[in-house]
Amino acid sequence: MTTLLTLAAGLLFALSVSMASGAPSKAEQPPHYRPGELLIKFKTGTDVRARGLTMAQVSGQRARTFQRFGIEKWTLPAKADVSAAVRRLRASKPIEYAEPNFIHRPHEVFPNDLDARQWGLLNAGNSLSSGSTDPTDGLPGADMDLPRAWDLQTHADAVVIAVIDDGILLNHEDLEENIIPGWDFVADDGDPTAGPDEVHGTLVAGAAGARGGNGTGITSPAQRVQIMPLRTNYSVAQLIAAYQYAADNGAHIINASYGGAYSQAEFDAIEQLQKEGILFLAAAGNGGYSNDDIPNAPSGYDLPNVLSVASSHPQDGLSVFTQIGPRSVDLAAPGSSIYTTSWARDEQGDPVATYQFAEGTSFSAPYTAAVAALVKAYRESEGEIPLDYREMKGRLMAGVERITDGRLATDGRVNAYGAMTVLPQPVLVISSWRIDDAAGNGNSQLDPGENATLRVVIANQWRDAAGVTGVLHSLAPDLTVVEDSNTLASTLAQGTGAELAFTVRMANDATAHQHLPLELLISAGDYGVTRRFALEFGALKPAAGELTLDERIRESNPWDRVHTFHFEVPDGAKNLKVTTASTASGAEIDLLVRYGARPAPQFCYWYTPLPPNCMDEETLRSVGNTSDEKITIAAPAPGLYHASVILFTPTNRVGQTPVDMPYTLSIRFDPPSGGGGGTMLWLVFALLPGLAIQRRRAT
Amino acid sequence: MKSLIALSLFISFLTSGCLADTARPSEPPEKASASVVAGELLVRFTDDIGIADVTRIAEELEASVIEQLPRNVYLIRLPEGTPMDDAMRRLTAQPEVVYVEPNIRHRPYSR
Repeated sequence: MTTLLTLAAGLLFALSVSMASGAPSKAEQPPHYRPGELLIKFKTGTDVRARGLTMAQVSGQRARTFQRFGIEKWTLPAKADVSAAVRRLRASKPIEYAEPNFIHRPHEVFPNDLDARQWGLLNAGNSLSSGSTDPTDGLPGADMDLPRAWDLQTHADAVVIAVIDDGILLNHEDLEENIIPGWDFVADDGDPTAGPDEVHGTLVAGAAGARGGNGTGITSPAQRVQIMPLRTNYSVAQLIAAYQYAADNGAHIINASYGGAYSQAEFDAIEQLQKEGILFLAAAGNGGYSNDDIPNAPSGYDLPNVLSVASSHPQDGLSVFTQIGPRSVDLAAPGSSIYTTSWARDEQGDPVATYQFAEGTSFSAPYTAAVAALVKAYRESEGEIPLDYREMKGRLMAGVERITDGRLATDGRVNAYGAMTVLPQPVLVISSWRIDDAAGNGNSQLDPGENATLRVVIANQWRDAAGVTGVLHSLAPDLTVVEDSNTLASTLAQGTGAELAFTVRMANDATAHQHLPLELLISAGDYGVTRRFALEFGALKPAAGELTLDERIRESNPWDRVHTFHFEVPDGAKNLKVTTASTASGAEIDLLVRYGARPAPQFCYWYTPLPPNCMDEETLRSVGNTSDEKITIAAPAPGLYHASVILFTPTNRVGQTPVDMPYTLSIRFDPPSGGGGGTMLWLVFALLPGLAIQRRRAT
Repeated sequence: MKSLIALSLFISFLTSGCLADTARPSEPPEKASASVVAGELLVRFTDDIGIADVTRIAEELEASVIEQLPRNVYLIRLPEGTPMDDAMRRLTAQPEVVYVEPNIRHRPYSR
């Protein structure tokens, strides 16, 4: 913390000097040091044996002697705590002094246009007048750690980022030096200048590639990088054409700050980009829900060259609007209160360069793209072979700082310095899981009192991993882990996945609805990581009568947007009616019902009119504009039905309306004849997140 | 600016009373305005099919071929007023067609 404050103070000092004199800034940075290395001076007369004994207490090895100066360089074991070793040695009698092997900072690494509002690059704890619904007071250190990254590499001149978007103000004072030729797929010509109402592309281009060190405006994390502007109308046909253009013209990274429904053609095109080694950065979306529940495209395409990016805010939490997904969103980067390039019209109606605050995952993706470019440039300057998507993605994911718990695959926020310097290692994430209860009732769902096999697929995003072992721990009172450990027999290679199997048991008296949080400790040699995820328990039985939600789980659960229930309908039953209702406003409830399998919601369900390829005849949908939804099946097939209740917050109210969402689900059917003609009725009063939190605050 | 607009919309919502009582357009998770480009389809043909066959198959629907994209995907435009789902069904039935989908329109992710 002290270091960060010093760093922040150093920057502010530098900025104030720069503004006063117009001279290039020269920040005084706190020293930092090479890991595992010490410089030692022993007191005169200390013999070799005494030196060895003294250094043995920190397991030191002599590396070099500078005889002229009487100084020795010693190395410590990998991952040793240099500070602790220095403290210990300084207390030893034979030591005159012991210090880390400090690295002096080259001057002028700070760009003279790092605006104090650019908290994502260096967060000095400033207050931001951005109007964001997320916190606007900064937290020192809650940033992508660019100052330390710039110590190693200040620019990425040879790296090309294709910004595929609407048009860009190409002659913007802070962009034009980094802009290279592109294409306009709307007009089909070589001038991708912004159209009359197009600002988004200019906002995104600033995050990816605003010129650093030009004394103007802002800087991107990469300072100097090649931005290939590709103007589209966001239709998949034009986007695919732009992907092809980017690949044909030498792009290393593509930025996609947009999204929507799944397209097979787009999936195929992005898959092809692997051949050119292109990293595809995709924004996770601003709907505030989980992409694990409702898949998002292109960020959710399960392709090794896609890196999906959520948004973080200036206090290192996730932005209120960001879409998340422990299976489908890789990491986060700053996206709230982003100060970036823009444009407006002057009195004559001519475009003029401006700057403004904006927010969205639209900015998290290009920030990450710029960091990827810087990482690529640095590693190649260190003699590595040209980095393709595998190395860029692996480094970005391995180098994160952890800021969440179970909301993202890595649960981390991009750290440029971390990505540049992290040692090659596996990056093991959970890519999917399923319940295998073939030995039980075989319905692929957890039921009360049931033993089941939980099959968790682990994916490796970076270097090969040998001896991958998982140890599973339940955080849910109603779920017991019976067999908690499993090891893969063979090496898990980069870009592959494999299944770990565990046995779990559901409590006899468990009641729906519950999310069941689990913790999986994954290790492989020296590598180890803890990943959190959650199973869902939604078993309803006629005998259960009225069911109430378990609030203990809901209070801290980040997965809560969809509740899925399952129930049996007996042979001969008629008039199955599933309905929802809610008195809450500001958000709404939607309903899906499917026979024999869980509904798999698609983004396109909510399009009006429904696209022709969105006709999923197996899933019955009631997605009206209120919470009063109703699905009726006059002659239901006997067997297992699933009902998904979806909390839906309109985009323009995400983060602005409370998500306290009590609802009522009722399921009725006429029982088989001879049953007295009565109805069975179960009510589930469920409270979606927010209400629980509000209650907690009230107590 | 956009967040200010959203904020003002929210304030106007607060001052206008209960939203549930007022009609509003159906809005999906991303509440897209135009989810697909009307009349346009993306059609992937089997790898052995060339532009001549593509043109012939399109003409049977009175559609025009707009652009060839990677992986033998073609953008075609249907005559105005042609039901898209009907055209998709007819194309899907062709042995030369791998898949057909509407030309979906994504939306930018700023607020």
